[in-house]
Amino acid sequence: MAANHFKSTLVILSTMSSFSEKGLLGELEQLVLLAVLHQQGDAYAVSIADEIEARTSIVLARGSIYVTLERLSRKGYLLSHMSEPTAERGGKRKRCFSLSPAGAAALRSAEETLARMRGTRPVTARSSR
Amino acid sequence: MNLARWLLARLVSDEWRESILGDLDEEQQRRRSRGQRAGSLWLSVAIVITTIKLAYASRRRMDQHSGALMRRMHTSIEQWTVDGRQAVRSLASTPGFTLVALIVLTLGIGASTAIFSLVDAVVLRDLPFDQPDRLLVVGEVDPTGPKLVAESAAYPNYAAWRDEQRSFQQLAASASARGFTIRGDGEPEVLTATRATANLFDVLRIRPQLGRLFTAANEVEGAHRVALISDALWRRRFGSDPLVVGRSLDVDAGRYEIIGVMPAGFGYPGVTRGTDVWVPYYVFELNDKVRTRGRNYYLRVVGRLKDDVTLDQARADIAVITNRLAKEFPRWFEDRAALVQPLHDTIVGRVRAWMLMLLGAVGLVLLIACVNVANLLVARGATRSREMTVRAALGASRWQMARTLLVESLMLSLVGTACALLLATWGVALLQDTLPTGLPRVATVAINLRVLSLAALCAIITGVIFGIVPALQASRPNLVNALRDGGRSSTMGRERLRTHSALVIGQVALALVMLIGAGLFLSSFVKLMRVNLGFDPQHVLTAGVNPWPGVVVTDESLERVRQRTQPAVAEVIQRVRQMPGITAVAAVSGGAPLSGAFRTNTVTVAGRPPLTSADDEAEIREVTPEYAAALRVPIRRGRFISDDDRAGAAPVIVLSDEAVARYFGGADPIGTTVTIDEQPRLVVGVVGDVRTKGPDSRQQPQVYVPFAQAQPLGATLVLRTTGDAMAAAPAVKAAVLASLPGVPVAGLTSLETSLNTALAQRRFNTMIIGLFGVLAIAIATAGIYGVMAMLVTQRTQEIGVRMALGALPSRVVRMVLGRATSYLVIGVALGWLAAWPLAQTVGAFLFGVTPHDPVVFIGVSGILIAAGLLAATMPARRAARVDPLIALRSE
Repeated sequence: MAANHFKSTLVILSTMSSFSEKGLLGELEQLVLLAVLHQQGDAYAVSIADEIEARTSIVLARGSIYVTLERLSRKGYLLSHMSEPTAERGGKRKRCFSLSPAGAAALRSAEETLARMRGTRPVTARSSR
Repeated sequence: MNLARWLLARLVSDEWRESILGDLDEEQQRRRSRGQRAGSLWLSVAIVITTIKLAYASRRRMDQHSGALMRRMHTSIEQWTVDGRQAVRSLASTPGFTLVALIVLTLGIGASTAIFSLVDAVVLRDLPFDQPDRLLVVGEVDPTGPKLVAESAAYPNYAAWRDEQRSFQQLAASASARGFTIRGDGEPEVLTATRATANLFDVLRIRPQLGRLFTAANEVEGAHRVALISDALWRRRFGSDPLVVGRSLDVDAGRYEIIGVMPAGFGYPGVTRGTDVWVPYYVFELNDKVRTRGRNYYLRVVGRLKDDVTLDQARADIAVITNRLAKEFPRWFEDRAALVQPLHDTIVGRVRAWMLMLLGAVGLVLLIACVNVANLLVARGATRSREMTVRAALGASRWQMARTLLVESLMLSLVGTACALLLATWGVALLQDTLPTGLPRVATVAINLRVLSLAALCAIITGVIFGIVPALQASRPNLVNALRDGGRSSTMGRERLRTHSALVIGQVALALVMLIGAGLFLSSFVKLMRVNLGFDPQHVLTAGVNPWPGVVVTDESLERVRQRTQPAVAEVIQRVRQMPGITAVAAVSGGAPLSGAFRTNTVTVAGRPPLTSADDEAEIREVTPEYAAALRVPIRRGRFISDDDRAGAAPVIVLSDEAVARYFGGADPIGTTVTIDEQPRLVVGVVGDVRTKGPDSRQQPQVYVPFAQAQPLGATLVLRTTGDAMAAAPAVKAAVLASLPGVPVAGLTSLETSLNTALAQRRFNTMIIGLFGVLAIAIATAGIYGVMAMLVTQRTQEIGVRMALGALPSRVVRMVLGRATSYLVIGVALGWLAAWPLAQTVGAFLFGVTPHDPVVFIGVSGILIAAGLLAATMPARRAARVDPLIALRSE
């Protein structure tokens, strides 16, 4: 059972890797990028999960958020910095994320690609023009 | 929790680590505020899951550019999954095999891990002190005698070394202390106490975790009532009270103020289950102040070498001092020599041989277990040879087939190891409870994971080798023959049969070696229990009375103290005698039996050449008249000491059988005069010998002189009770307190308890080796049963044909049993060859049995053969019931 689950995760991950090789964004990656965009530079793992849950009612696993953030940073779509330590976090700092120009471009191109496939005009593309 | 954080630190980059921990803190608070459960377990699990996911994601990136590797990994995971599932299914389809293999593995790995952990903690591990190799023990040994009485030093010698040596930073001394029994509310608890000089803790470089140490200022009578307690005692008796310092410790020996708590794991000298209480050592034994006639060796001296001094230099240094002392006090050194050796050797030296023997035994059990599992696997491989050949014929590669069996073996080993871990955990706890007192460092025994992995590795290697060999055999190229042989032929492959026979014979041989060991220990123990102690330890209570604990003994006060002891002890005896349930009460000075204390001196007989060797010295006891009655020591001739032998009356003496044999060559001594302690005494009686040092001790000559005619400083009360001896303890203590207010009663114990303590190590040896013996015989019989059962299954068709042709069932039974017999006989013969030289090595642990005791050798061989044949009867009877028709039809 566990092995099966592990295997299917592996399959999904390997397909995703071939996505990204072609410069495409996965659904999860898009959700995270959009959440970061909404949070205006104060985004960190917990607030991103909250944002996504508030807007879509999708509850993401904690690990998936970290993995996605890590991958997006490595691709250069996200920039990160460490915040000042706060007391409610036991004096630990946050790793805060903001969208890089490349990330914004990737998000836009993803929407355009989907819109072209659907035969509609992409919303963000229009607004940003 | 720590594991989770460690994992996080190892696998995740720094920036992530901090923010993840912070995020989880935040989430934890949020969950709590919502009333959800989020304890430290939740946090640990969350950390682990996140870490693994993140680490996997970044690891995967490295493979991203080599898709081939990724795909290969993917495929192989898939294949291993399939293999794993297949292994579970196949193991479940043969529950008998699986269960037996698991039990054997669990017992083998579990027992060896538990024992090995013990040996590791006691013998192999370094001492828990700073730079333990610089710590040396300085002591005295009898260079001619057995090494067992080693390493204790007399106070004047210690004082000389301490003051004159130049090799050590410091020399410190310690000695055991008696009378530390807590009797407050609840069960009384006998504490292990050590008297130590204040600099002991400097030498060992140990600081208390709470409070302070005592100082040299406490090494004076009157200032000595301060105590350091162990971490374990602090937790056990004081509920880890952080304000324990300043509280008092009330024990039989009096009231002590607790001034500190030592760190966990510190139990020096650790020759018992770890010391519970350390109190200051002060010199109160009279003999210590001046070199009197009697010598008292009881100090344990330890020192830390100066940085630039070697062991040899320290030895030379101490030797120079000792040689000077020997010239000055020749009488003190005629049978003594100084000894300087590493502390580690002293602590573990005595038990090393014993531990190594135990280790050998456990290794043997592990070996038997491995051989057994090998045999089971080979047998299993045989029954599956057809499956294997079919798979080979269908194109499965050798590797693929081997992998199937490999996964099975691994799975067995892993589950077996898991069960063994449970068994070992339980076993270690059991060992700690049952181990004899006097075994060093027992308190530190814990499951040793290195050991567990080693044992598991043995099992896995066995599993791999014997799991794969059949697969490789089955995949040999001549598939046609193999198919025919495995499927249709009714006889087992010759080669395979040979492997089996060898393994079964090996098991029998190993089991026999183990059983001979068990037999030797068991018969030693039986002999030991049958030793006539010379007295009856049942219903006897002993209690130490030291009437003058507050008096500083000086040369001037000595006489006064001695004169006051007599009436005080007489009054206590008078009072105790009036208590109900006491049939006899006596006082003895010079050590009650089994107390470990004794005093010896030379006895000279007028008209006979003096016997001067230490071995010929007599144990001297000053006793009151009821001593013989209280211990039920038989009177052989004449009379025992009586009330008429008062101070001032004619000095008399009573000898033991051994003394008569040694000093008079067996002639009647009554009426002759012997001189002891420079006092001529008239022999008035002869009594039986008493094994005062335990049943396995050498018998020394013993003499008894009237208590009233001696000048003892203290005494031990010996009381015979009608009921349970310990039940009388509180009343006896009260009686002593009534006569001598404020006098502590030390060593309130029953002689039965003392005897059990003296026998504890042998009892434990016998128990553990006996247990291994049972284990060995069980595993070996299981092996024989397994192979015979398989043989019968494989030959069902052949047997059917034979019976169809007129063979009688009895003949079939004989055939099967005949084969089993030949295995057993060859195995036993090989076992004898191996056991003969090995038995010599356990000779030192035996009592009253020679290592090559024929009764043991022949007896256990008989038992093993009988058990083996019994195991073979079941398959034999099954063979006899084979229905020829059914057997042939299955062809």
